[in-house]
Amino acid sequence: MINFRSLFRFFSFEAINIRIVLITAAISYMLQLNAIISGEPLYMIAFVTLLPWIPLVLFEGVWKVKNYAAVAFLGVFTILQLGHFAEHLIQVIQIDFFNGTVACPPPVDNINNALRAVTMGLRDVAAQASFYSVERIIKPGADGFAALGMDGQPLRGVAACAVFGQLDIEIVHLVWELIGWTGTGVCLFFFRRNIFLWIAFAALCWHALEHLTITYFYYFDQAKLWEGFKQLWATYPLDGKTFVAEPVGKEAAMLNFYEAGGKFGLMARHGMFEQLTGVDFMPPRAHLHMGYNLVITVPTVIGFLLESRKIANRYLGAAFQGLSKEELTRLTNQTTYARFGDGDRVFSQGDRIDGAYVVSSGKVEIVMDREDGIEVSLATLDPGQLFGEMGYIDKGQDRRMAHAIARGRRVECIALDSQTIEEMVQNKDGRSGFDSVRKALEKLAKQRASENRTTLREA
Amino acid sequence: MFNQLISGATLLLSLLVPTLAKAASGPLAEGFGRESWLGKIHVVAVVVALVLLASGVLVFAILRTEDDDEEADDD
Repeated sequence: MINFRSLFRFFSFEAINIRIVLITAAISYMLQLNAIISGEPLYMIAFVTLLPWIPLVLFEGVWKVKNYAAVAFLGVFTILQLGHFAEHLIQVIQIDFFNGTVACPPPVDNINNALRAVTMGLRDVAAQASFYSVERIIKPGADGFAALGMDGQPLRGVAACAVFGQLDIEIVHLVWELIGWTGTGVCLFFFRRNIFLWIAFAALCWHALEHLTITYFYYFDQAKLWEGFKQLWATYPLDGKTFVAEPVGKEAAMLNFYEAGGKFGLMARHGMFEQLTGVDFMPPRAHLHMGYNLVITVPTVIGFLLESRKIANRYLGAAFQGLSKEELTRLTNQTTYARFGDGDRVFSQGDRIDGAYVVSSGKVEIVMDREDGIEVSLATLDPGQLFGEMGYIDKGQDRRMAHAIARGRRVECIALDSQTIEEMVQNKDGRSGFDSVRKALEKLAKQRASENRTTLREA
Repeated sequence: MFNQLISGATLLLSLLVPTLAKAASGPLAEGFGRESWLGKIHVVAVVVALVLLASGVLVFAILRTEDDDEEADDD
């Protein structure tokens, strides 16, 4: 059963103030709007929309890993895999539904391509190269010039290189594959009984065979032994800053192993398996690799959903060691976070008791005002330590007995409200784990009371 | 100002990535086929061995590690 409350909490911003999130959203929207109005291509609209979110997401991701440990790593990793799979899926949709041409990275409106367009009379002589990647491509025929459709018009479709086609290069494919292989391997150290992560890992091993082979040929096998050609493009503006690449002939060239056929890899159409066996039903490379990523991503998502049932803050776990994982998850969902600067008071002596805290970042010093007016430092607490709970153990207390002062540049505490503490201490729900916490709290309170008395005497 | 930034980013991007479209598109070169791949089969064999070795080492290391769930269940 999926714990939707935990999932919602995990995928929301917990470490960043809501005002900063709203300001970032506004900036992102303005940049997006400006790019759309300016006629920027899709990849540039997507880039400027995502750009303001990058620092926030990085900060939040690091915070999640720090607080939720391995489950957060798996969660962040799952999001990245989903993004990668989305790029592959978009490419296949572009090919199958938008008459896409796979020429990746897409041709760029550079000086050579622009000059060819000027020579062919396709663009104004005065127009300079924009260095934008094209978004539309006219399909080349066997002669290297535009292929014509049934209506006698050139077959024009999208450049089928997904959204960020500039990254559709072999080294990026290999690096991403190795990140996936390593990341899933690391996750398996923590969740080794998660069968879905093992399935993803097996698929990643197979996928690694493809990309290591292809990348080896791309970089290390440069002997040009095969006669072939290179497609020539002319680029010109179609609409605003949307450029189109038109095929304008072929240039004879000697090709290396990668260019001659190695680029198709092991199992794709025209690849090694097809060449060695003579079968002719293998899928094109774009479709095959979308399939590989489907087999990698779906089990990764399922594996994460299974583990997400146990998302719990590790500092709460350190403070309440008697709780089961399910109880810790439930407790995590009942908490909020409070942040303080150096010297800020979490609470002051004499304040009404309204909850307890667990330090999750920085330090908190507990200081008591003695009757003679002298301040005495009772303890300095580290991450994972509970404070403010004594009033719940000692029923005669309804006011804070000491100050709690933040020490550090960015002090963060997990706040447990009175109701949650009462449930834990009074064992209202009758769960044995909470009963053990009640006993531990009583023991802790007695120990601290004794230490405080000693400290006050010695001061 | 913003549009100048975009133009600069576009130029930088075009310099950083290859400008020639050459991914898995287009036909096979003439004469490329079964014999070409057989001539490179040692590369494929080395890659298979490398992946098997690296994956085997990783799997062995993972299986030697006791996870938290197992400890909890043992308790």
